[in-house]
Amino acid sequence: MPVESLVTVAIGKSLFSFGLMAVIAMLSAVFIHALVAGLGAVKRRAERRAAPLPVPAVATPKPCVAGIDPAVVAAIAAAVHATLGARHRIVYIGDTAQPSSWTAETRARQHGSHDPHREH
Amino acid sequence: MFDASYLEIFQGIATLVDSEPHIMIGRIGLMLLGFVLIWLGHKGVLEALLMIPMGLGMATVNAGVLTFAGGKKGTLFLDPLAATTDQVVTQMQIDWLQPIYSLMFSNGLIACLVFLGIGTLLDVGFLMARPYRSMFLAICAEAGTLVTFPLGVAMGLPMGEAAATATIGGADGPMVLFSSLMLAPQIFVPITVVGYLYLGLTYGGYPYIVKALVPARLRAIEMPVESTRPISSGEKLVFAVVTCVLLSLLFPVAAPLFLSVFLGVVIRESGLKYFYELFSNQVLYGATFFLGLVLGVLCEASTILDPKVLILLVLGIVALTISAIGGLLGGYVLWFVSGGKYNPVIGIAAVSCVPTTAKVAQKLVSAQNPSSIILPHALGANISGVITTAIFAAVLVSVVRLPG
Repeated sequence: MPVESLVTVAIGKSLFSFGLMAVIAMLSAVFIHALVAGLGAVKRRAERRAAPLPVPAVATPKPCVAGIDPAVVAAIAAAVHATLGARHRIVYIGDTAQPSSWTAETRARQHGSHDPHREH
Repeated sequence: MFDASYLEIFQGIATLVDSEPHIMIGRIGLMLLGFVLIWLGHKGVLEALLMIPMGLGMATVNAGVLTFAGGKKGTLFLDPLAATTDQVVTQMQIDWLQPIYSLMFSNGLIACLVFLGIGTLLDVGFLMARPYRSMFLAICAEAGTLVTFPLGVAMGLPMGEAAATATIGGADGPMVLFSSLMLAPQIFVPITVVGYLYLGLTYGGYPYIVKALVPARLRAIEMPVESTRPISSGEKLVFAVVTCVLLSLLFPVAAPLFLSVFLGVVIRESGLKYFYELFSNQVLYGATFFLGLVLGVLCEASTILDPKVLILLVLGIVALTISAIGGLLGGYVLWFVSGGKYNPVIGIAAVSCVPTTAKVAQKLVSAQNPSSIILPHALGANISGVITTAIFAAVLVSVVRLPG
């Protein structure tokens, strides 16, 4: 077969493969979206069923960051400032759980894999 | 006095002097290249974990060529040309790396082990939180494979070899190894070596492409705060299990790789701590070490110096460059659609060199704006890139094998 014909066949196969890959990838995205939405709805329904009866409101100091005591936020901010300096900002404060520590470890490894001489 | 020339005692030098000029130059050049890889790995320009064992293996194997009985030249490392069962078994009793090559490398096991380890490092929650954008970017970042396949055929490569070389555009080392074993077993060594060499270059080379194509003010864009809910381990588990089975159903040819990567994800999300420790440490780094070492040892001049290597070098760099441009163009599309709120640098992370390109993206953005955090978006695109690369490679393997 002449080279021109082979190139034409290759272009056809490449475009077909790319198109099929794109369709399957976007279907995967739809599946992921449906999965997250479906499991989220199930979770919310379970939480509603397990929700306790409403209790009378009690006046409490208003937290400055989503439900965290302002004193805790201030302490964390001071610790971060003392450790890392002023060029950093706190993006998120939350409880650590076992999977989170794994994630943190993985992130530290991902960040440090190009610098294997340093301890992370 | 016994009669022996110094060249008979120092056989490495004897075989060097005695070889064809192109082999002699090739051996010296590959020894020097080995030194350069070690140096660049040590300096952190290239991926040290891969390049240091690869560089030393490459330099040593080209130094340690000796003459066997019958005048045949070879090494005591491995013989990739051993084909029959008798030859392989004989070589396994002589060459120290032959067992690793025959039982782990040439059947793709080492690629699967690396993938299994990578799977334990993947937090698919980043992808599940923003599936459409991540997948869109990953599709764009496959442009290199799309363009390089016909380009390879135009440059004279057979269909299978061109397709296998084009998968370098997916920037996924185990996938390149797998595709070349399936589509071009006769030149899988040079394809894989070229692929890994270039993948090692992405960390140093991609920042130049990003800086050339994305102006500083766009690199500094801060991503808006998202209202995504946390994805639970159970949801990630369901996603991994269902996706693995569905993709294997569609593409049995890539089922071992799908199983490897998603098994890693499942181990991570199931809380199997001992398996997680094993696969994310010993297995991943052990497999990476032997992958680098065997790749280096395979670069013996008489094995690697194929006239096609020059074509492969050109196609490899073209594939990775076009994939990077494709990813960045995808980033620009999202930037435009979002009204200028999306940082287009995230597109480079869709080139699935996990996690290098995600790190490159965050590093470049941080250099312009230290308070811009794009890593969650970049890792989502990065993980999508692994999935689209696996799908593309599986489709290519199936389609190229079809007649016509």
